[in-house]
Amino acid sequence: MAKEVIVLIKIVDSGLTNDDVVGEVQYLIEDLRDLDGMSQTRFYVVNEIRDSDEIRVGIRFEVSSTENFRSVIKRLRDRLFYNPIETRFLFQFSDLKLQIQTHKAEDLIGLMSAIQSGYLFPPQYNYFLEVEKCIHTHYHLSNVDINNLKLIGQRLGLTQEQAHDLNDEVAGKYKTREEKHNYFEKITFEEFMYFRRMRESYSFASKDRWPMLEELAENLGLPKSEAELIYKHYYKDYNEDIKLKSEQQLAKASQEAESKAKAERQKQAQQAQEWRDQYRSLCREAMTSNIYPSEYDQGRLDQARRLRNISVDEAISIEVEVRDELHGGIQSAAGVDYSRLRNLLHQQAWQEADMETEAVILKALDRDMQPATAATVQRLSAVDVATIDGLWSRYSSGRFGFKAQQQVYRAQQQIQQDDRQRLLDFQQALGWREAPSLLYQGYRPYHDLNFSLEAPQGHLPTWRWSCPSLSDRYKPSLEVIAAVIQHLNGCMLLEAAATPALDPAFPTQLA
Amino acid sequence: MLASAMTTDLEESLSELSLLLYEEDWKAADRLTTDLLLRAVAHSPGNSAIPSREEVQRHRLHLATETLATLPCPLLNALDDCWQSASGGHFGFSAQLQVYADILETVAFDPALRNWSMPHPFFEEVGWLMLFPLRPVGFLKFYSWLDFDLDAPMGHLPALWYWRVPRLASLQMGGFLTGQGACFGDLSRLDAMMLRLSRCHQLGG
Repeated sequence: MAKEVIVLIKIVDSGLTNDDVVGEVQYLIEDLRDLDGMSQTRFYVVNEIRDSDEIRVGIRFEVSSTENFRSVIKRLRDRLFYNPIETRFLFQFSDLKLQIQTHKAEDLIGLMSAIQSGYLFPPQYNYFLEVEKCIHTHYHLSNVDINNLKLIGQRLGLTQEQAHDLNDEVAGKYKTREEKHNYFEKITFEEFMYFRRMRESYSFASKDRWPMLEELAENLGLPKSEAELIYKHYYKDYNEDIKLKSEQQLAKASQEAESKAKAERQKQAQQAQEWRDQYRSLCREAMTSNIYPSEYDQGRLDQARRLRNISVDEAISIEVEVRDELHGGIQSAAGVDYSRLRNLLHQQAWQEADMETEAVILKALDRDMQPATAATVQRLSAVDVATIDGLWSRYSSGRFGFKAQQQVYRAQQQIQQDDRQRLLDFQQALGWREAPSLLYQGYRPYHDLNFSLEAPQGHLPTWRWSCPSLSDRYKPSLEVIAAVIQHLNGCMLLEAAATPALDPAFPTQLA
Repeated sequence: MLASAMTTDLEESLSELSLLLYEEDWKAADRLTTDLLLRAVAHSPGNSAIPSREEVQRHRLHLATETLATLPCPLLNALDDCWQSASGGHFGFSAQLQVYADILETVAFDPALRNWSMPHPFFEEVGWLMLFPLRPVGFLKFYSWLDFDLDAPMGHLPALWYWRVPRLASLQMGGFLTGQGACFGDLSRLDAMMLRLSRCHQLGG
């Protein structure tokens, strides 16, 4: 059963030049292509040799439906009506060929009425188109449709069986909408399953499956919106699955990276600690004999610091730690810098260290450098007292310092009961005072004191920071001495071993 | 400390001192300097009002060893600045401290051996000793005999802070009730002032 009509149109008007004919053919093609349903039609050009030139004289094409054929004829008729050119038309309906040569529009009108009647195409074909139309509008054959088609079939003179076969042919394997739906769903599911497997083995970007499935839906006669819903449902599932999987992968990867980074950090910290320790021992080497490394050692340390990737601040803090460890700490609660005192003591410059001791104590007291009194000396914090004492006793092997003075005083407590006399004896024991005579109190000028390691126990540091004048004589007041001793006892506990056993018969008033 | 003491009154006094110094009225400047020191001492924490000059003179205040040791550093520095800038560093407490410190370093002086013929070298150095034909004697000049002139030795002025002592003390030191003049130098007060100045210097540094 041929469903197509082959149309051949040839311009045969002798009044037209060759160029005119070519132009007309071109217009004709464009005209026909403009028609609804004709845009996909392929137009074959018919050539002919006229005056030794091969030129286009006509076209040949196929028309596959009654509607299209009707509109083609209508257009051809209109053309002839406005532009009567002698034209030869050849229509071939399967075996039947119909040739018309005319320049009058009326000649085509008869053909049109023939088409209108539907008899130009075989009845099966017309019926087939009707069924297709029903299915495309309702997606399955409803009861009404079937009855309607029955009537159409009877009108076209088809038998019941023929009509039924055609119905089946058009409806295809999946007749009802539900079946189509299920089938489409199944295919979509399989498609995505396949896609998933592909994804697992090859990680290529997911390709859009919709155009293919859309075509399937169209062929199945499933409504596009319904198909799209199914597709979207599976697409969503698929996407969520993919997302979940990739998230899991990401989580796993980040966990691995984290543990790796942690191990790396630990390793780095270990390395840094090792480097710091190395640097610390280098510092110790450089500072065993000097408080501050020599210029040469400083250069080496700087190089070592850079090699070990230690920051300047860190290096300084390590140096400070090592220095404090090797040469005594210089902590201060009053914010006083004891490094100069430490330097002087390290150089065994006893007199200068003594003067510096005055400077740091008066600065720590923060009383406009006024000499300390019995009341103000209490303000010297225990930290500062311990630092000053620590430095003095460290560099004098315990000979000098507040603790040494405290011990001397404790010894005096054992032998002298009278408070006033004990304070005088204490000064004498420290070597701050010579034995007094009738006319001579025994106090010497400050610069006559013994600034050497041969000096008596506790001779230094002097308490010049409590004296208003020194050059005439170094003479701290008894009141201040008593207050300082009391303050020292409050700040520093003498070790039991260093303290001579106290006689309970002579309770001390100052301890 | 100075913030409270540096009242408008004190600021005025300091600018008055600068004026006197630039007019080279050394004697008046010396008097004012001593007045300011005495007023600062009398201005104890319990007594908020700064005493007037008349009050200071009426009470016959003087600068004892212990008093000198507690003079406010900012005031000393301010006074010293005035003297130094007016005299090009020739006069002032710093000049005196410099002379004193040089002597402490170079000359071993034993105050126990102090007598007529061995005054402290500082007095000779700053030209405070009464001149005797043969050899220096530990006698200080009358105050009015001092050189109120830039030709005077370095550290010659200010001097009144040292000269003004109670009459009785003057008498005890072998003087004629005329203050520090015409008697033996009191090493304790001199040293106290110098020690105070050096302590104040440490604060500044």
